[in-house]
Amino acid sequence: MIRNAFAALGATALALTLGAVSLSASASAPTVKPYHKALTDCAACHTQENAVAGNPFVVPSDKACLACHGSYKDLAKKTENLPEPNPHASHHYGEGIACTACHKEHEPSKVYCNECHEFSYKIK
Amino acid sequence: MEQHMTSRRRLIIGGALGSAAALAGNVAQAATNAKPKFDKVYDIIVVGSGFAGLAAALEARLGGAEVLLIEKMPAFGGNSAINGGAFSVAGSPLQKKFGIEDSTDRMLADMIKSGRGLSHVDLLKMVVEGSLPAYEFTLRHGVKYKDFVQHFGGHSVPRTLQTVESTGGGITRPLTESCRKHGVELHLHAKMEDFVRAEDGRVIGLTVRERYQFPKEDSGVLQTYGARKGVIMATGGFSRNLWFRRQQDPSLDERLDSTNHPGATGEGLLKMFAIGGAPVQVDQIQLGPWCSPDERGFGLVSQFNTIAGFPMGIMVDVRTGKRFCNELADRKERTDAILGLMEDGKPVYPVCFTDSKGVEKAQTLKNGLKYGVIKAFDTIEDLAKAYGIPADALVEQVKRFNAMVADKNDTEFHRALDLAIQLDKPPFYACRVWPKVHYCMGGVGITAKAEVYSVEGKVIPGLYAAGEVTGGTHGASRLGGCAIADGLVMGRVAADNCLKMKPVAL
Repeated sequence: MIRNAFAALGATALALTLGAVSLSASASAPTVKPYHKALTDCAACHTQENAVAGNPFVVPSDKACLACHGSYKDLAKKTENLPEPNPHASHHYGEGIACTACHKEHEPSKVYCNECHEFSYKIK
Repeated sequence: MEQHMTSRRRLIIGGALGSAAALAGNVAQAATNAKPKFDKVYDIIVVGSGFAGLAAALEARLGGAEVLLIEKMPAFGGNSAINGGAFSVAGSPLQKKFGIEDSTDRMLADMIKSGRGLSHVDLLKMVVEGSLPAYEFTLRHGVKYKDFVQHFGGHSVPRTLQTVESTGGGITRPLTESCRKHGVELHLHAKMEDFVRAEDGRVIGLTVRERYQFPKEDSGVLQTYGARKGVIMATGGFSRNLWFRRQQDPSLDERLDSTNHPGATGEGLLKMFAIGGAPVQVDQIQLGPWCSPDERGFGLVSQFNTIAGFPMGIMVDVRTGKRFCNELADRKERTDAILGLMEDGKPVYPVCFTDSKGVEKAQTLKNGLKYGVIKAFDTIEDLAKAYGIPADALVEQVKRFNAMVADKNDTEFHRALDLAIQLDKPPFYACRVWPKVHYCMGGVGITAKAEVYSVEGKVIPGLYAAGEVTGGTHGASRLGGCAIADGLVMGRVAADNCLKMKPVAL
């Protein structure tokens, strides 16, 4: 179930065409998760809308994640039958937690809940 | 805590302020007289998104201000979101429903007693008298509470309400949504870098690391924000700042875990000290007596002990099988008693337990059993065997306790037995106990209007503070359930007074 649930999440990832200028990856590009390799445009996540002082290469906004993966409610629905509490519908944070609190693109992902709990989530 | 001086920021060098800055380890120097260039200007900027910050932002916004709230972590709520959601209110409708006689005077007396003479009574009065209005405020924003009142340690009567979720997230989530709905600008991943001050010392803004990634201190992009009316600091305590807490109390070393979220490192407090904010009782640091050494942080046992083990069970020394303190005393008394159970420099973890009647309202029991931090036993003898307690002595202690419950008189430790039950119906549920660093009673000094005091005894104009980052309210020991009251009440007080400030043209 865990594997299937997260596979479903991965399967929803789609290439996204933005109005922003395409930013091509350089030879020293940071590592990208396997399920995002199809996204050749850095601006899929590093949107101009989220740029700070003109710099788009900052922590992405949830808007970029949710544009492909659906709303918080959709995600919570997909993970509601996990054997652990639903990571996308936390009693503590609800929708007030960034996707990037747990899901890291250029480094290992880390379950924020497990700062305090010992849940056995598998996170890619 | 390296301070970055930029030409865009002006810093006033006064005798005392300069000395305070030097004492804080910062090299203060005069900057140019150029007016700071702000990337954006608001009326009020709130730093931190716990009870105090959310209450302040919402109150300020509903009062007509343009409000920015910044939170350095990737989630809103701070420690408030992960606490037990227990809120002490004097005179609540639920108390009236159950015929519980209470008053603000009585709550005030309990808090003064707990503070052991160190509480600033003017601040306590604000919290106590504001607790019912703050409760009503939470109801208006969608917070839901359980339908019973709890009796927490150190309180003379049951007066503690609890969210239906058994967590402060039951308050921070609705308040965050209300902020969003009412137009508060909310930034996650945004860490305050420093204050921006006018020539006269007034706080007129902040430099902020936008898209900051905790704990990478050089991450993010620096932006400068103006605050026409003021800045409200609601940055919480420093239980997770190992070096700073050890400066106050060397025994709070790395062997003691903390109940706090990882971001409770106190930089907001240290920034206020750096510009001359007055330190108040910074060494008064509270440990939570209900924690377990068998799990990290706040965990599941804390709620179990608070709602089941301590009010409806007993806690015993495993070497003797006997109780050793009033399980409903305030936190300092219980913590000191538990920490006294050391042998050859190592902790002898006591065991707290109750029976099947006592656990009826324990929401974390199921998960506690699942993760093995709470265990079930069919007999007292089995429980004793599992924890290495002398069985005969434990059986005898339970008999004595049951007799005291029947008489409603604890002749051993004078505990209030209003909610206590006789321990006679298996299974029995037990857990190991050891305190963890939980709450910093000290912080920056404030007036009853939540204005920040400088070391000169005057207020720093444009600067307010509320919640755990402030000092003096709780004295030597905070009563359970009163941090929510403090944060919500003083957050709203800070906003109300900041709204009255004459705006600076920026």
